[in-house]
Amino acid sequence: MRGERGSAVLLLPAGFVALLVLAAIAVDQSRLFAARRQLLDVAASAANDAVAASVDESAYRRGEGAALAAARAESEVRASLAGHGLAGRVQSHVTTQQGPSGPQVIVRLESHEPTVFARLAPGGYGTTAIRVTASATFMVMWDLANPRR
Amino acid sequence: MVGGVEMLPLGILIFAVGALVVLNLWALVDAKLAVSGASREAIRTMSESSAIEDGMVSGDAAARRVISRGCRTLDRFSMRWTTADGSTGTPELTRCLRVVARASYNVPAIAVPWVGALGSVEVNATSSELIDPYRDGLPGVACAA
Repeated sequence: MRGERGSAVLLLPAGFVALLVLAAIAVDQSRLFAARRQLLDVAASAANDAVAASVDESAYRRGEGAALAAARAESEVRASLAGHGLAGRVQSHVTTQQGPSGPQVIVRLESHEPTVFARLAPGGYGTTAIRVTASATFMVMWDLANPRR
Repeated sequence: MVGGVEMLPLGILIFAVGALVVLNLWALVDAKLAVSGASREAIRTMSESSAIEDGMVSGDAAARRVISRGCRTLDRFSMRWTTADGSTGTPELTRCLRVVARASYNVPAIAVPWVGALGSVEVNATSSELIDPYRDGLPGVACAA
């Protein structure tokens, strides 16, 4: 039976390459997790701003209920994205709807985050799409139209 | 002499440098989380304040509290306030005013224990918030009115 003393010469570089590949995957995935978390914060903030700014107050005071102006909500989300320095880098889709607790703004954001190491691999990808959704509900604490109720 | 023992110092050096690089990468991630929290705290404090100057002072203080919690050097931290149009002046705090807080922290590029820090990498986070359109005690009208 032959000795195995020389096998370390092969095993060490192979192990090192595997370690490097795992480290590269860890770096790319961590960046994506961080970007996703950040985008989720932005989406929540934008939804919160949009729902507060887009309620038609005069209609509400006339007793017509709280309704949201969709165009206003969209422009407020765009302004929020610009405020966060993400204008043009993030695609947004804004939906206004009547939720169970009141009118609701749903913000869906999509961004394409560049990868650091995955692009270098054969058949690798240069960007990864990140999609997040956040919503905010306009809740009436008391009835402004009928303050005595 | 046992074969390869002369490579031991080199191996230890590589290990030490590698450990420092990994620690520094983590410092960047940690700083990013900290400045994100600081800018969020600052903007929340600003949106609850009664005047823009007070808001900037108390927002700065709130952000610095977040930064100092992690035993970080406050000298490396800075805050910048702007409004939606990018102006850095001090407009009146009105309903529907969009305020933007940008927090920055300079992380040492290479930090060697007992030796010191070399260079720096700036880590930034931006938060933006609309002043509540229905807040009491502020001038202006609700945005959609």
